[in-house]
Amino acid sequence: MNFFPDYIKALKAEWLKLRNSGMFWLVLIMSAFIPAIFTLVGLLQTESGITSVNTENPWRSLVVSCFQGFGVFFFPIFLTLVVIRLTQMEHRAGGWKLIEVQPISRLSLYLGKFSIAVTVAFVCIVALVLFSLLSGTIVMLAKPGSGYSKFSIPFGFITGFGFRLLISGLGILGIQYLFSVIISGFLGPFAIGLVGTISGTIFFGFRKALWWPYIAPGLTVTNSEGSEAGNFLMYYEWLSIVVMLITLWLGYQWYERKTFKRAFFKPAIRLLYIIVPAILFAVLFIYINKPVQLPAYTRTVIAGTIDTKEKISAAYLIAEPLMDTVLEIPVANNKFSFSTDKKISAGTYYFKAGNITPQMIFFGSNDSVFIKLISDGRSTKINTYGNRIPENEYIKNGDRSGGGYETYYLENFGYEMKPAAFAKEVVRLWKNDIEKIDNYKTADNLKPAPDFIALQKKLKSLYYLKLLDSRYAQWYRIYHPNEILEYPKSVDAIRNTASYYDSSLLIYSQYHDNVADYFQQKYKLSLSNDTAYISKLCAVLPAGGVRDYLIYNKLKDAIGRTRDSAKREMLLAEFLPVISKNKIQHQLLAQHLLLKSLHRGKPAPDFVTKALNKDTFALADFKGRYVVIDVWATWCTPCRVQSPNFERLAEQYTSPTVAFVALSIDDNKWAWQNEAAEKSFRVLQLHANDKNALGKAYGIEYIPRYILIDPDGRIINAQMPEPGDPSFEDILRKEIPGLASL
Amino acid sequence: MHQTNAYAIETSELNYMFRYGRKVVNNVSLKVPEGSIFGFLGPNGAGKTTTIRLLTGMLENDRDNIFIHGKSLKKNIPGIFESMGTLIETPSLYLHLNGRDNLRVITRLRKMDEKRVDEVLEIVGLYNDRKRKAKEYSLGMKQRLGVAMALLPDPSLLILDEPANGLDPAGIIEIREMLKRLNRDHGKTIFVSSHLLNEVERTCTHVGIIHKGIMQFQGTMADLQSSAGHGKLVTIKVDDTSRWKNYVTEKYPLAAMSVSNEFILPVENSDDVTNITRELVMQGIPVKGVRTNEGLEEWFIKMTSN
Repeated sequence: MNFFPDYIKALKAEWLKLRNSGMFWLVLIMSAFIPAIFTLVGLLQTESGITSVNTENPWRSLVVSCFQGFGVFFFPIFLTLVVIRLTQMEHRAGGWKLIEVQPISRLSLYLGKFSIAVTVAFVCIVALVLFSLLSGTIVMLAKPGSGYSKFSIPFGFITGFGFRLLISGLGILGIQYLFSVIISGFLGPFAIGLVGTISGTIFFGFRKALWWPYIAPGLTVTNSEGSEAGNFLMYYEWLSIVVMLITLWLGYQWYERKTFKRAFFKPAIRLLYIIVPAILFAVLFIYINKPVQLPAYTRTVIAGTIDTKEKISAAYLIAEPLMDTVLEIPVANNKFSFSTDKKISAGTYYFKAGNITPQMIFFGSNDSVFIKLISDGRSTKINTYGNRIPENEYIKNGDRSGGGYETYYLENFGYEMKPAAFAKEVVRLWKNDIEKIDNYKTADNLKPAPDFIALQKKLKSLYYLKLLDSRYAQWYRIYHPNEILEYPKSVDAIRNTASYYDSSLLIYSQYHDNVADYFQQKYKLSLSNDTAYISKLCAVLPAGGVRDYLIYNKLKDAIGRTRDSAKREMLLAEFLPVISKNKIQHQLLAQHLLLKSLHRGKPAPDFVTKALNKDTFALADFKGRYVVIDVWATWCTPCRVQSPNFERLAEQYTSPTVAFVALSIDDNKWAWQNEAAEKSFRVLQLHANDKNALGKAYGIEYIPRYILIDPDGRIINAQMPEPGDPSFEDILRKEIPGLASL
Repeated sequence: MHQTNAYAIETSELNYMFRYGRKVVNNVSLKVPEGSIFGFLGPNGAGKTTTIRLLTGMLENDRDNIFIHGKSLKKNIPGIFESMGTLIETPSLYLHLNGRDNLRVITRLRKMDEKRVDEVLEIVGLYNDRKRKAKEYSLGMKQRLGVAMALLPDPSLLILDEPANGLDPAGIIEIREMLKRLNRDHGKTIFVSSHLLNEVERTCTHVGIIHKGIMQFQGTMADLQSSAGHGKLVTIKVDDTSRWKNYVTEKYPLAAMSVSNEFILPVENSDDVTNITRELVMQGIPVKGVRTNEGLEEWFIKMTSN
């Protein structure tokens, strides 16, 4: 077979046939239409001056947005039209009979024409890229200030993206080519293409049937980054290739013989021509569509980069609810690569580095993840790669399940329903949610590992269990005080999935908050009497993590509230031994000791700050004067509400013996400077050099916080009321001699 | 197996049946000698085009019973098309391309020199219209372009399906002369189908008549005439039959008159025609035209009407 020379001849002939065929205009319109609109919008729009860390290269976002609508709708329609035009030439010329009586194999004719269709699609993509870049250039030249001049064109990204878009169009080309060759009319193949595309946009909207070949370009455009797992192609792109191959095969068999009977049924052996490819297709289809579960790693590795101005020496994995440090990760040059033998139970942890807002990641033993953390002090972005991609994506996107209106109805109006009806509805919604968790997969067709799925199911089930056991049960008690609430057996499925005694779930706030509520309602625990609450807990709950946590929670709250050191010690003496975990005992003790260290008369912990004029101030610099401190931040609304009250007092009680200090813990120094400069000059505006150290030393869990220190640097009151409260002024007048006369 | 090279096209018991079971081609055994102009004659729907589609491999044929220049068609597709030029039914034109580009498509498929394009355009008389789009062509021009496409590769065998379709009389004559010239000067074998008997009579050396899918006759033109038997007629056109009626009917009692000023007389042979014509001219009757009708027409109609 001299296929190749024939193929080249066919290609050249097909290329010639494109002349005057209108293909040029079709490509031009399809590729220029969207960029033209973007150019107009770009020129008319007034630029927003806001840039954040999430702002991408504008060239890249321009190209991607030019392709957005194109991929879902225009591209499939375009491919349909291209194929129809190419095949109609032959149908109109009398059913291919001219080219088929030339000394050229039909295979090369068939593939030659298909290749031209692919080429036209390619040209259209290239043209669309060029037009979108042209659009960016026009906007850049017309508006020198726009973002385009600050970035270079990401050619690497565009090449990969364009290539994958072409690949994802191959399936559509194959299908349309098959039908356009068989059906000699224009309407038939066009209707097929239109129905395929429109049903595709609907599937795409619902994110259902993502294997549908007409969606592939839309998916490629939506996931313009490509595979997060580093695969060459996305699964739907592979699928597109498979669809193309099978349709080319079927189409060619038909084309060679012109009837289905001769192509596939006569002689009987030709049945294999359809059966074998069909089986092959089915196998590949299932194989490619099957969600992939990334295997666990042999070691536990956490690596990554932290892109921020701050120099970071260590990062931490922190677990709720006690904020335990699970893992300390050394960081050098804002890069880290750390492997550990420590047993870490797979779960959601906070990844904390420097002053960057902690980010949630899913991690555990035998995981290998790579973290890319980017922060500019205002916004933060985290991307997690490795074997926990789907888990982390799930966490990042939040829990998208939940029935919205339906759960809202149950939560608020469920009392109108009978127990069986309520249970039925709960079970139905629960099943939906469980199914959603089971079917969760990323754009890359990655599926979370079973441990993650099991965890999510437990958490989800707990929500529904709470609806049954506390929300509805409570109503029932009120409306039917003499009856015993009985649910149908079907709710057992939820009960078997969720548990109120699963301490491994305590790292999830959804869990520990729910658990506290549940037991409080179930055992009618007293909210006003700490001792009664804890005693009852100890009586009804078995020892273990969940009980420990609940006691801890209550004790921590009680200790924070109790000013009297002796009373605190009594509480601790009574209940610490009940807690089985040393760590929790230590934490409660530490809290108590911290509060004790902040008692009246104790030396105030030192801090270092900078003033607006860059002078350094330490606590020692105020020796000989009373110091009234307002710990605040620009982003803290309650702080700003109280601020004028604080300033009013500073102006009223201006005296050489008192210093009024506003101590900011802002991360964003600019924000502080701008705002502080506007404040009353009677208040000394300072900025804490190390907010974490300050917070730890003074036990600052929330702001605003007001502290009064005497001239010897001893604490008078570490937890003053708010300055709007008259007692604040009372304390000042009482504690600071001579102030009352001012 | 198959040795003979004497036939440009040979089929043995060619059959074709459409899905609904009617045999459109029924045991057709064609023998088209090399160097002949073979007229493939039959009324519309006789199976001519289906036969041609089989001969060009356009229709799938299960049996290996078509031989072109002695070579199996089935086994030699598509290489066998090197030596064939075809025009099947209406010409296959790319209407959006101009005449020249239509031909260039074929030169590309055959990897030929493009110089040939202009030559062929000259032959079919489309050179001046070469830059017009095919969709602007008249029916006759399209037909000529179709012929040009068949001629383009300079094939040794031309298969033309109703090439005169849609042509005006001048065009028909042009095509006829062109076919004769190609046959005479270039030694090409031409297989041409037609439903017009006198077209075939005037052009072809050999004839095959097909009716209802069955070959009714196959042989040289001379064979055909002898098969058609006697009872030939001569038709003589004059200025006004009523003027010469007396003389002619007296001399030739069997003469009949047609409405279009013609006398129709039975003759035995061509000498009779000469003698009658001379006689009339010598009588001073202005003979406007002489046409012999050798009875083929009737024979053909009879053969193809049942």
